[in-house]
Amino acid sequence: MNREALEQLYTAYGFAVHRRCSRLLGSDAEADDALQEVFLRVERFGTHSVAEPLPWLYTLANHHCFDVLAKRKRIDGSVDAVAMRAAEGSEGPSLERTQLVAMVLANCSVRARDAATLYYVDEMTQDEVANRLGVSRKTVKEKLAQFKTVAARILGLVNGEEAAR
Amino acid sequence: MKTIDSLEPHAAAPHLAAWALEQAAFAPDAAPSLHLQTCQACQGQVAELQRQRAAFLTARPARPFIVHVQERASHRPFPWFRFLLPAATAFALVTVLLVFVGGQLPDDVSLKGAAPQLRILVSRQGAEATEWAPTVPLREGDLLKFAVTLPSDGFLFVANLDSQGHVSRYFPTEGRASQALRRGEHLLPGSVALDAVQGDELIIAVVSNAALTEAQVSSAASKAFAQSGQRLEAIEALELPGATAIKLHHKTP
Repeated sequence: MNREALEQLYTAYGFAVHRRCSRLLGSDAEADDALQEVFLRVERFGTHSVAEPLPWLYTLANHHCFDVLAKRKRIDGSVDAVAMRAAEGSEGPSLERTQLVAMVLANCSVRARDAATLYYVDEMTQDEVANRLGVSRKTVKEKLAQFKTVAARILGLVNGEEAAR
Repeated sequence: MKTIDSLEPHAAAPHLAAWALEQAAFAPDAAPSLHLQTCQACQGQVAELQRQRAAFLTARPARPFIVHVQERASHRPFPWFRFLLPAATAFALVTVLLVFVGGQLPDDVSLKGAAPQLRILVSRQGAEATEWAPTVPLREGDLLKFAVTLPSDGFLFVANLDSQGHVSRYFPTEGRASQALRRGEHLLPGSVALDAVQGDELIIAVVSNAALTEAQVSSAASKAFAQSGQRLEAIEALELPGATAIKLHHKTP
């Protein structure tokens, strides 16, 4: 892509992409890196004249953030260990919440993460999520149920640790 | 955004959903919905998003960001080139060796010997990264990013020297030789999470007109550490063929 086109895209949507990455990763510093990665992909592969750049950029951002979260999961250790650390509250409320969100997303399937992000972050209806992902509403419900199961398990671990203290 | 704690679906809200508000705020050609035309609350949210975007662009202007992205893109292979990785690696090694043995950058590149400028950006507990002031102690868990301004084209290596004399490579994040960069300011990719080791540390940026290996920089840093009587604050430069910028910081629990 030429520089002018990239600058226009960044001016219009750079903030939105950064905001999305910051929400998923829980860190402005990591969102800075994620923003660069998203625009690197845009620079390399072009927009292919997508009709709606914002949802497309969000998809790139989501997938990059999910990769970061998956790596963080491998580094941070098991769900139980992270839940225990979060319950101990030694890392501050902001990081604690970030760790929880990250662990939930990192432990879901790709489809469940996509559905949960569209549903909870973008606040789409189940029909809108189904339309965006090209699946049935029944599938969306199943994926959201999977997400809830993982989230409930991790929240349960945290609450269990807190209750035990 | 919905809270993960509640796990409740969003209510059939009378106002626009997050994606619709963002589309209205950011998409240049978005036609306002009927609801948005008549709802002051949603209009206010759209205006606030646009205000935040303007502030973001002031802090992170488009031109230098895109220039940096294109610089990075020019240094990274396409995924479909992966099968050429062995050949590309060999080519890169030969190139580095030739440049190193030759001792000079290509003809269109020069280094005038002026010192680079090193800025450290710190993010604490997920907050937005801000420029670090030398009087502020750093802590375990702080995320550091580095911005280096090169007075002319050259090769950059950034290292850390701790109070025990240990040397760590910060930049380049991959490879063991300094990396060629054009003149101007570069926000270096990646970030460094500080560990639990306490005490003074030096962050050293070396710009040279030939590639330096990690072993060369590490050796020069260790020598300077020994010659200074293991006093980091007494180190002003490294004995290397290049210009150096050094920042001393103190890390507390």
